[in-house]
Formats: sequence, C-alpha cells, structure tokens
Amino acid sequence: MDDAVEKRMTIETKLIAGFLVVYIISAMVPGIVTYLVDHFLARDIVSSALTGLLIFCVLLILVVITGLYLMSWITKPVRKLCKAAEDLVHGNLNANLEVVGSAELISISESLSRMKSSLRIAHDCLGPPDLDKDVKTEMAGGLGMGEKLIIGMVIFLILNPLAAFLSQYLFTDSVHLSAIFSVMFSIILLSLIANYLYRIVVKPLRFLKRVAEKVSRGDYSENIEIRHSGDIGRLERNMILISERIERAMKELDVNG
Amino acid sequence: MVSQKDIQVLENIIVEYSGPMGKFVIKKSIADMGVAPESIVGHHRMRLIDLVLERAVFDRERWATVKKEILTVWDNGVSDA
Repeated sequence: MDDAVEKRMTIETKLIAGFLVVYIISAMVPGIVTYLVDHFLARDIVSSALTGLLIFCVLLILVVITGLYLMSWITKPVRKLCKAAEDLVHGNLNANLEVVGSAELISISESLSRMKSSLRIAHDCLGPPDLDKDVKTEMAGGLGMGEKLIIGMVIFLILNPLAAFLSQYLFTDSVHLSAIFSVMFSIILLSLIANYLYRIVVKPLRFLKRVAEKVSRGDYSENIEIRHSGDIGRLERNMILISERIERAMKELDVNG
Repeated sequence: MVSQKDIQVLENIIVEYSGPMGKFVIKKSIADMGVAPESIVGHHRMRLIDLVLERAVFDRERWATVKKEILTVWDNGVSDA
C-alpha cells in the first residue's frame, strides 16, 4: 500500500510541472502572437499597443487554463476529502474517502479511512455520537488553494515581462547581459512564487499528512491544529472533530485501560 | 497458544486498518471467546482472527490479505506486507 503511495507524484512535482508549463507559455506566446500579427494582419492596422494587449490576453487565458488544470490536480481531491470528512463529522459513516491525487492526499485519505473505521466501531458499540459534545472550533475564512494558485501564476505572468523591459532599458548595449538579466529575474521571481506556494499548499498538506497518520493510529503525541484558512483549514477542523470523537469513545470504552 | 506478543502483533496490524478502536475490538473479541489468550490454540486462533476481522475490518475484500498478514507474522515472526 505504501509503495503505491510513494510512486505517486507529490504535490511539489505537480506544482513544478505547472510552473514549468506557465514559464514555457510566457516565453513562447509573445513570439507566436507577434509572428501571427505580422503575417496575417497588416502591421499598420494593428498597433504595437494592441499587439501587446493581444499577447497579454492570450497569456492570461492560457495561464488561467493551466491554473484550472492544476486546480483539478491538487484542489479537487482536497475539496473531496474535505466534503468526506464533513460527512463523517455529521455522522455519515458511508462517506466516500477515495481520492485520485498526489501521494500526500492519498496518505491523508488513508488516515481518514482508518478514522472512519474507528468511528464505525464506536458507533456499533456506543450508538450514534452526540454531536452536541463536539467542541465548536472557529476558523477563519479565506481564499481556497486553487484561487491562491491562480493568483500566484497571474502575478508571475504580470511581473515576468517586466524583466524583458527592464533588461532592455538597463543593458541597451549588450544583448547577452540583457538576456542574462532577464533569465535571472525570471528565476528569482519563480523562486519567490514557488516559496509562497510551498508555504500555502505543500507544507500544510505535509504537516497534516504526518499528524493525521499518527492520530489515526492512536498516537496523540502531536495534535492536529487549525493553522490555515480555506480548504486545508476546513480539512484540519473536520479531522480535529473526528479525532476528538474517537478519543471520547476510547475513554468511554476504556480502550487503553 | 496466543501469546502477549501475538496480541501485540494483532493490535499493530488491526490498528493499521481500523485505527485506535481496533485495540478495543481485539480485547472484546478475546473476552467474548470466554477464554484466556494463552488457552486459544488450534482452530480457535482462526476463530479469534475471524471475529476481529468481522468487527474491525469493514471492507470484506481485505479480509484474506489481513488474515494472511496476521498468520504470517504469528507463524514466522515476519510480515511480508
């Protein structure tokens, strides 16, 4: 079971693949659009500003499509898990926890599946849970992971062309220096956005995966906490409620006694 | 005979599939059999495993795999999982 999880792509790999696609798109589209405008439309009709606008629109459409595709890779399974965990919290023990996604998400789904079995055993022994006993946990709202991903990509899309303008402005004499500056700027920009996405997407999911694995096996040395907003925050909140319910049932049945 | 070590093995495997409540199922199953673990021998070992699986592993398709895993460790001391 674990081998299959290991062989799956991690979220990090998916993010890197997504950004690579965005980088290639942002590098190729301006040239392609300019070529098409030059060859199929008269230059005197379409001004440079209009060409620039056309390039930006094409880039924006392609980046949003890539972002949406990446969203279906990463955020859809998270939302599905969130919904399944919510069903479990509301006492539906037939919630479907199967997800197709990255290694981290499959591991979280396995942990939830373990918790589901424990809830079912508790239900068989103690009857339906008293939902009023659940500790009311407040959580902040906030943008979902998908929205944050698209924002990250659009920021890259807007700022990246600045590199080309700046390099042409700063290094008017040397084409090589201008190209080096442009590439360096893109790399720095990509690193900053990648770091931001790592902190909002990869890190929380890895933390949740690690703690969920422990808690679902009855090791409460580390607790799940609501550390994030949006989809991951909701998943954290639901997992806390489930693990608290299991802990209560264990105390009631004196499992460790 | 089912030793304390065997019960620990059973616990580890069942918790892997059913979470922390798996421990309770094992305790209850042994209690329901009405004999001390040391007295569980021969086909009663299989009865104990079946009882635990029935109560703790809800996906019947996994029963054969889990049973094989438990018996392998009980008999050979190593898991091939």
